[in-house]
Amino acid sequence: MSGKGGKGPLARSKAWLIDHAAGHGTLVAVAAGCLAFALLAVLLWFLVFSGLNGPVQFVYAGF
Amino acid sequence: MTDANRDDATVEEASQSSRAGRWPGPGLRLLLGVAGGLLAFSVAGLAVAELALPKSGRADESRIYDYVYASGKSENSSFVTANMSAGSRLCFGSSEFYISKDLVSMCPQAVFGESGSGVDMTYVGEGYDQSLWQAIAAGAYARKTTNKKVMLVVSPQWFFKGNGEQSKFSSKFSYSLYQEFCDNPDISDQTKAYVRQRAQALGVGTTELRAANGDTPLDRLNAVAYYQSDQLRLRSKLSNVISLAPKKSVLRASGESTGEPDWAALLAQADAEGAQRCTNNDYGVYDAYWEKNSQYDPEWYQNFHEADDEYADLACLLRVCKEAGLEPLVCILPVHGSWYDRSNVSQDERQYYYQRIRGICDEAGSAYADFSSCEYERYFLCDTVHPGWRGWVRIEESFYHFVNGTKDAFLGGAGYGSAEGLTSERATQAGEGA
Repeated sequence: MSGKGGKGPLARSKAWLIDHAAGHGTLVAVAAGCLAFALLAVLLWFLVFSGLNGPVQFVYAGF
Repeated sequence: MTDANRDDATVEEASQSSRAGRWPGPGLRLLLGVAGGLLAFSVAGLAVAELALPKSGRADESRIYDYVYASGKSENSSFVTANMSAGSRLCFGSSEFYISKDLVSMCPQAVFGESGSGVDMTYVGEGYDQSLWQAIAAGAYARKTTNKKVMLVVSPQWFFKGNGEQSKFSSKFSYSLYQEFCDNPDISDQTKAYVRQRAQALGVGTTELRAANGDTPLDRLNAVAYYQSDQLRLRSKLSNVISLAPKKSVLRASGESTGEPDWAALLAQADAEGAQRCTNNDYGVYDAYWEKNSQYDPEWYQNFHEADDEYADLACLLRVCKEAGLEPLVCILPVHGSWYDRSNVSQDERQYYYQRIRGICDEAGSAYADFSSCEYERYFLCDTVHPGWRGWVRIEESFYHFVNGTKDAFLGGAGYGSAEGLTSERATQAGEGA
């Protein structure tokens, strides 16, 4: 947990990120693009390729 | 220009320069970053789809695909119809297609697929696919096949109390097939409305049903997304389907005609193989299955008169076939006589089931291959449910005769009269003339 005055590691990381983001707008935009790409890739994998939402399979051995 | 004016102009230029240097601002830059990610994803997706995934058209012609039983095959009507053998007919069924040469060496893959008989069976369907799934598939496939004679393999367990395994329909539902079913103009609005209502009742999402039916422009847009993503999924499974397809036998590859198979010899072979595989029980069930499942008895006190929805779905399937120009042969599989006796399913119940199926066929004007007389024929089934050594030979023989328009002891309905069955003189006996 972060303590009062933002001395905890999370608060420090947050402050560091905000400071750097303000000075590196292009980097933030690229990171946002990569994140969008990655999230869509995960979504596509889950919906189309993972089989985790696929049909129930007939298992003859346990019939 | 005074000094004061010069100072103002300098400040204004500096301000403009500063604004120009910050364009695009942080918010817009973020937006552009996300848009760039989406665009890159679309481009990468299209590239992968085009370059990495097999297409649903013609595959390696040295293989035979009709008898492959694999997830993702039956839902891909484009692949199945593009790779059907020339003399093949669509066969809609379920888990019986799982039975392969390893267990029953006279299964269709061997008898038809490795010969030059001129007849083949293209399997469509997997375990748990029942009448409604088949109705959708029949509507989807009808316009893509030139051979209009088809077989529908009906399993008794679809009509167990509570409509068999209908609860699994929503997970077996194929958007691609349903979309193609809805797009078939030969099927009446009334039939489409029935299928839609049944699919909804069995748990298919309203959004998918609205999309496939194109209720609104937004639904039509959804339909494109649903269909394309499902096609992508099906293409991702094609490598496995292709790898499971056996190479054509030398005889098959030569294209030589071998004529009608020798059914009597096949029955004799079936008896010998059945006897060899079934040694630890009196039911004619193969040993490995018996060891695992002898205590498993889902037939215990079953009945066939609490499945009105499934009977109605079967009638719908025959209606779809008629409207779509298909000529179906309904294969009525028998129950396992001695096993059902042990399970306390009365002969009245069993006869009620057969009679009701025959009635639905007669009402639709459809032919049927009625194997109800084979309940006690040893080795007709290989376990308590699926056709085995004798069973497949009898089904293949009747199917062959149906395709060629000749008489057969088990064919009935639609101009064939009533099926005479096993006791008929016409019924092939093992080793006749062999």
